[in-house]
Amino acid sequence: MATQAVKRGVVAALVVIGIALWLTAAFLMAQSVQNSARFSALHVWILLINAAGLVTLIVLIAARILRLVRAWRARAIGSRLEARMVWTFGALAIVPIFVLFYFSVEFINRGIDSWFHVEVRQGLEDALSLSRAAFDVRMRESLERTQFIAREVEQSDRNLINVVSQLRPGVGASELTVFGGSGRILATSSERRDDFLPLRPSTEIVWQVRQGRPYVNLEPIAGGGYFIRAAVAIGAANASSEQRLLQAVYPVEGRLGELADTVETAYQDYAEKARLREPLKTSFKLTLTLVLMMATFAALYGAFWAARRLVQPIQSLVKGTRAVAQGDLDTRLPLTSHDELGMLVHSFNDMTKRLLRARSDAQQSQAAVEAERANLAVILARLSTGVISLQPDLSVRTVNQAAIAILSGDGGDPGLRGESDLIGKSLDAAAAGAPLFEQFVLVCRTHLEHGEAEWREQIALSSDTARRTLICACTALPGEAERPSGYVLVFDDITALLQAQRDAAWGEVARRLAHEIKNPLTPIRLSAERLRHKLLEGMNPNDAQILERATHTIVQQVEAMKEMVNAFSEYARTPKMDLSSFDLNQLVAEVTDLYRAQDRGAHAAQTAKRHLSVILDPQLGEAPGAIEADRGRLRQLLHNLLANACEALEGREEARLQVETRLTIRSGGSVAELIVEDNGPGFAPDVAGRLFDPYVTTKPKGTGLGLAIVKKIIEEHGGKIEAQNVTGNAGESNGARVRVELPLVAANRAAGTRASREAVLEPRRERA
Amino acid sequence: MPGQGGIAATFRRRLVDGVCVWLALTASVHADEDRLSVRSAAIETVQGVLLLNAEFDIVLPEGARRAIRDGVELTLDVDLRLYRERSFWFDDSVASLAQRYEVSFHALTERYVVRNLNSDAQSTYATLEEAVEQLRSIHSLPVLDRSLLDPEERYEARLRAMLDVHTLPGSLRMVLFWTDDWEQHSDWYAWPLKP
Repeated sequence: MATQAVKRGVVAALVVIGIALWLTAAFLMAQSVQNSARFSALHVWILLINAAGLVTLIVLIAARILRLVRAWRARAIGSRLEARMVWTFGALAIVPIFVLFYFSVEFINRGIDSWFHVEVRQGLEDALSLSRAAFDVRMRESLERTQFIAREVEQSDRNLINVVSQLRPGVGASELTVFGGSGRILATSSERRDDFLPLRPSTEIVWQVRQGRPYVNLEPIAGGGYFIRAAVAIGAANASSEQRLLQAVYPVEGRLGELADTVETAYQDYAEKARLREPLKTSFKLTLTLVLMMATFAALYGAFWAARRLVQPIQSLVKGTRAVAQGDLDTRLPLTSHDELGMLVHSFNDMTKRLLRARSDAQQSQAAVEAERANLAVILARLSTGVISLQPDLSVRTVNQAAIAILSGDGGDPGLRGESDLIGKSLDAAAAGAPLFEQFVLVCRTHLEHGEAEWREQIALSSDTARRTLICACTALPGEAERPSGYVLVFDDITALLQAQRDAAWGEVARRLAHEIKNPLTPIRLSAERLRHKLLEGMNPNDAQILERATHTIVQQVEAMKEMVNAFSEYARTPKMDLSSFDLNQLVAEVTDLYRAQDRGAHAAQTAKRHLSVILDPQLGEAPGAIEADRGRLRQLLHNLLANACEALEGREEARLQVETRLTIRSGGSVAELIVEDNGPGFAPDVAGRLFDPYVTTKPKGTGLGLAIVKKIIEEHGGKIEAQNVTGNAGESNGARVRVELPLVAANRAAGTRASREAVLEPRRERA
Repeated sequence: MPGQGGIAATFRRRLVDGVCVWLALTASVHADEDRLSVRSAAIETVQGVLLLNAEFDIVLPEGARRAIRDGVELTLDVDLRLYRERSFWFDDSVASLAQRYEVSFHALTERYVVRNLNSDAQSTYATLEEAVEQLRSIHSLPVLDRSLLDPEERYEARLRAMLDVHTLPGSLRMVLFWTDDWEQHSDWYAWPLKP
């Protein structure tokens, strides 16, 4: 900034000095045209100053023009405005200068020409002639007097010097000299007495006199004034004797001499002026031209300067505006002046300052909002309740992880990947491919399209693989002018809750059945046996046979009922675990051997071709692979599963039953897997979801408690159970598979409790 | 690169030739226009005083004559300088003498006046030729007392003349520098001087 100011100051000083020099030079030049001698010495400098000024200006203007042209070509901001301003200013300044120049030249031409009239010249020449005429009379008189003296001298015998001295005052001559041959002075007399040297006759005079012609002439005196010189021969021209020459000088009285000098001077002056007319005109024009060029170039440069000065703040304003438009709010323009443009610049700076403040405020509040949002997102993510917020057009605004987990099946529907995939999509698009979500959307849409903004409903969703019950509440978000700005759907998966309630209810039923039904069964049986025992003997064979059959049926049915009641009581019984560490493979082998023996025995005839394969993971038998569980209950579990499978395979050709154990490492610890698979008809679709509920069965025989008990045992061990159909390539049911997971160590069973609950959600069938 | 060297040499030779021709031309032009020169000059000693005698060649063109007849002054400047010769340094200026003569036409008397501007002595002549004839020779112009010179030293005299017909005043002459002017300089005329 400081160097800028210094530079500007130096430039300004130089400009001022240059203008002063130029003005002085032009002034001196104008003066010198009038008064030549005084300024001739300065002329070289004057010319040099002018030339230097011109060259400087031309170079400066050329540089400016070059810059402007470049800026124009580059389409720089302000170049067009600057060009137009230069053009306007330049035209405004230069046109008057040229008009002035034209009239000045005309004026000089006419003015100078008007000085030289023919009359003046003629008058001067006449004055000259008049003066000559006046002198001619005197000259003739002087000659006559001289000739008189010459005759006197010739006739006198006296001393020549005395004669001359005597005669001189008489004729009024100031000097009288007699020259002999070869210019020797014979006698002389003069007014002046001291140190007198007579005027010498020139050869011209001598020759003229020698030719017999008397000489008389008027001669100027150096420093003003005239004298008349007359010369005549004394006596006749004589070749033998030496020719004597008398020269007389007569003064011209002062007044006449002065007048003659005036006339002469005036004539000479006029002649000089007439002679200098053309050069003077040329010189004037030249001076004018020089002044014109300087003025023109100075005006042009001034135009550039003024345009630049005007355009610069505009340029910086435009630049600043662009910078602000590109988001650079730190732009501050230098305040150059205090005029309107300065005010504009000031306002601009003020504006950017305010914008900057507003932006930082907005950023702060945005950051606060973001933080709040992040908090909310964390809270929503941790929530096990599903939350979906919708735009008024029913597109998804936000969705939390729990909502996705609830609405996608456990198998993982491909349509529901992450929250970000759903946000912004319409509900239908978001739900596409996820059957549970589609059903959910259908319910919601029905409500919302009927204009119900606030509702609460329990929704049952089901797909091929899953079945869920949701309790869903919808609230409208407050918006403008009675139109909601969106909706919030809050829903909870209450499937497990319902399941638990159902389990509890069944437990209660079983306990009551066991208690209420088991008690009368023994008296009924005893009574029936007593009836038979007492009455059978006194009856005829027909009646006896009827009685025999009836009591047998009663006893048999009571036994069946007892069994059933026992099963119920088994189911309702509070678990009492008898934990021990043992080899699961060994247990499986024992139980499967039993079924293999059965095959060979009773069923051999009917299902000769049933094939039982057992695949045991040897790792399970080792010390670390030993399972810590209630051996007796696991035996029951195996029995139930195998019995269930065998029943499903009854009457089937090429029946196949496979039992497999496997050791699997999970993140929570090692688990033993037990898989029982058959190629029976599979689970019926209508019982899916209630497969492990008690008293759900599709078979004529059975309590419907088989799988319910299995599930109970698994839960007690903190394990997990899945049942699903084995599907062939074409999607047809190709048998059933039940997969059981049991933690190897009892300590891991806490986590398993939840997993066992989830197992309820698996697709199931009922074959118990 | 003989090819390029050849071209460069040719160019240089042509350039030198051109400069020579130009110099010769300007020299000849100057010779043509040589209207003033010192024909002869000598210094004699009379009664212990050095006196200058010199002859000039003066040619006045018709234009100059007409200008003088119209009232323009003609001046002749005679410049004499005496130098003491030095072996290893510039010569020492011992004395200089400048004489200025003026010829002008007096319209009233219709005579040409020749004035010595140094002494203000003047004489008049009926014709310009007579007046100029007076300028052509200088007789016995006292220069220096002989006693001021060292007889052991060697001296050199240099003389030149400048003729000027003042058709334009000084200022206009500067402004209209391209117009024909009658200013003439003679070359220096130098000769050894033995005191």
